[in-house]
Amino acid sequence: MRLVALTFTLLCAAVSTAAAQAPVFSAEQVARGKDSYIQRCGICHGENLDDGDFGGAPLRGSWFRDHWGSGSVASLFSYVKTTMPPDNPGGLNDTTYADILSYILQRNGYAAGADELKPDEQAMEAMSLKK
Amino acid sequence: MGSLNRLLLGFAASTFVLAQAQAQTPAVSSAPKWSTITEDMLRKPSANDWLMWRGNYASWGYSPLAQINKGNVKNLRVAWTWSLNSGVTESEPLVHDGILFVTNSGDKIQALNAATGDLIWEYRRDLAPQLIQQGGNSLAKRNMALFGDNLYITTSDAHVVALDARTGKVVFDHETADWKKGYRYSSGPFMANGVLVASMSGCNAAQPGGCFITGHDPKTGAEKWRVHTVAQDGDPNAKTWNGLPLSERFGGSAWIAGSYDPETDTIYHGVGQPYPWIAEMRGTTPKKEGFDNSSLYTDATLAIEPKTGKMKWHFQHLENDTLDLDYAYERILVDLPVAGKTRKTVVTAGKLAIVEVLDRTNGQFLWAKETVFQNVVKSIDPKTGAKTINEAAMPHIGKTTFNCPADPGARGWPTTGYSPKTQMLYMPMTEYCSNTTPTPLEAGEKYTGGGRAVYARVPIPNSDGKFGRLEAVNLTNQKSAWVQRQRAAMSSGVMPTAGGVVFAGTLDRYFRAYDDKNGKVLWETRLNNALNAPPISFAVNGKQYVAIAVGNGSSQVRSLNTLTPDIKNPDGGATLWVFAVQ
Repeated sequence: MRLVALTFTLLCAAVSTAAAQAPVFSAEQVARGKDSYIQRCGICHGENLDDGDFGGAPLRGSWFRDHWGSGSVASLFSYVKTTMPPDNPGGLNDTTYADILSYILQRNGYAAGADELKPDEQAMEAMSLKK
Repeated sequence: MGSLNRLLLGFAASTFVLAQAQAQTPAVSSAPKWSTITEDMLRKPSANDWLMWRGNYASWGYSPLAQINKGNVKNLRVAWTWSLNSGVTESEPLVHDGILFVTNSGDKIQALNAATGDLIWEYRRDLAPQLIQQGGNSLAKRNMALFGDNLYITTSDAHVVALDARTGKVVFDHETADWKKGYRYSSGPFMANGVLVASMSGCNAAQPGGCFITGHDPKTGAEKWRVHTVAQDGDPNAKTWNGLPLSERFGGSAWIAGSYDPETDTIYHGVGQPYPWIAEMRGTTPKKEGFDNSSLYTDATLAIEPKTGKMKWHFQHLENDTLDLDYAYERILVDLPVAGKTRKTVVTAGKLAIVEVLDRTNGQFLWAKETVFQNVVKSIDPKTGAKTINEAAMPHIGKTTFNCPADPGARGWPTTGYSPKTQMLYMPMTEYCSNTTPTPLEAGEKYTGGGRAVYARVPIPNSDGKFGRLEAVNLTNQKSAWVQRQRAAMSSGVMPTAGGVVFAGTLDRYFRAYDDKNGKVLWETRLNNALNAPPISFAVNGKQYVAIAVGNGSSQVRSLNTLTPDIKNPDGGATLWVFAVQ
């Protein structure tokens, strides 16, 4: 019983430590992501990420914070990849999804760095969107 | 000169012109003989031609050709095909004297030999990279216009352009608005009593005072008049905006070409919704004491004198719209028996897919008929047409509400068709609803455009999983004649013919011919992508053809596809298909 409790505590500590990492993405990736976003997402979500014309949810500001701000990059990536674009879920390349995500993150005030966001859900699990 | 030389000369010439803003490929050998198009020809179009948007001034979308009929339509086979620019494809081609004109995504126009598919000339517009990158709807045009020796187009950068229909050479190029402010054309121009009319769209980008319809000299492109679709200061209906200043009255895109009635010398035109969609954000709800909040002329039918632009009357179908329920669509002009008298009527249906019939001489409401399931309108006053709204379906900030249809409409832009043979209106529709959540501006932010609501589209209550619905409504007895339903949404326009066949297409790539009397499927074939344009028919050398442009990617198709993500269509691959009985 003590072993189970210890394992659980260690696991929690590991997850909490791992998830404390800030999102990793590069400025170059943001530029690519912006292009892809305009082409693939802009009609529904809008050029400004919250001014779409076909019923898409805002992808910045309080809506984004309320829906995604307490989770990990992995949960957002997984949601986007499995549901978007809604007429063809999963229809883009993984790298394109990661690029688009980088652009959305940058527009929500997360800082770009030197490394790219890789479409690796395990690595994304460690990246928290908490500010 | 041999045909190869002519082709080479054409290539050289087009290469030279390419260096300039626009390009045309000069005429090559296979151009049929051209006859100048007169006003009389527009009033009584030859059955062999498809001279204008929806085939005639009355917007019936009907072909008087009967060579392809109920008996032989099963033998329809491909006559020729032509690849179009990949991208949103909502093009209704035009045909005159055996020349077919088609518009591609990105404002590339081609003249083709209608019997063989040989290229006669091509016009390519040099659009700003920003527009090209944006892609999607912004690059698609639904129609063009013919008059005299000109082919008239509207462009993605908000110009009205005349091309010599015989050569593709630019006759004039007139800018009507600044595309950088979001103005754009999604439909093409149309003719009305010698006036070229263009209908502005893109007024979802917070342009103060909304959209407009312009009348132009067809020889020079000079603007003769401008009718604003949002009441301007000085207009008695300016007070219908709940006291909002002009700088805060948005919307009213006029995004489908209108109709023309030579007898009453009147243009009939629809207008889209106000922006932002949510009335509480727009400032028209709650209604202020002493003000009207109906938001004219959004969601209205306008009757306009073509020579002057004078508005003869208007009829608003939906006051203070708060659900993105456009009434922009085609106005079908038909004389109908109503209560024992023949009335000159104008027939339309907005996104609610309620058939609404007005007297086109004065805008008087005559009758309405519901079709697909909706929960927005509780009742319609049989005398005035005034709608009682179901308040429970109205969106409010901070709530999620349930409304039917969803935002792309129980009927979207794909056109209905009317057959004088059956007196039936054939309506392509989709059955669905939405859980709708307004998304207010962030604190301190200014409205810059967009609808400002999340629409989570869902099936109607107790749906059987079928979303697509083609319905025939008999306009004489005001009853539904037949309904055909399937899982895939209806996504193309509809064309009834004198051969007793109704052509229409679906999201899952099927092009079908239905019996106009009972809806029985007489023929079907599967094409290369979603069908999202209206079919047309024409004849060359005594042989009837049916044509439809096919292509994916419009907001309408993508929105419909959210209901059935299991239906997979190719990303690209736009094609003009032409069929004939073999």
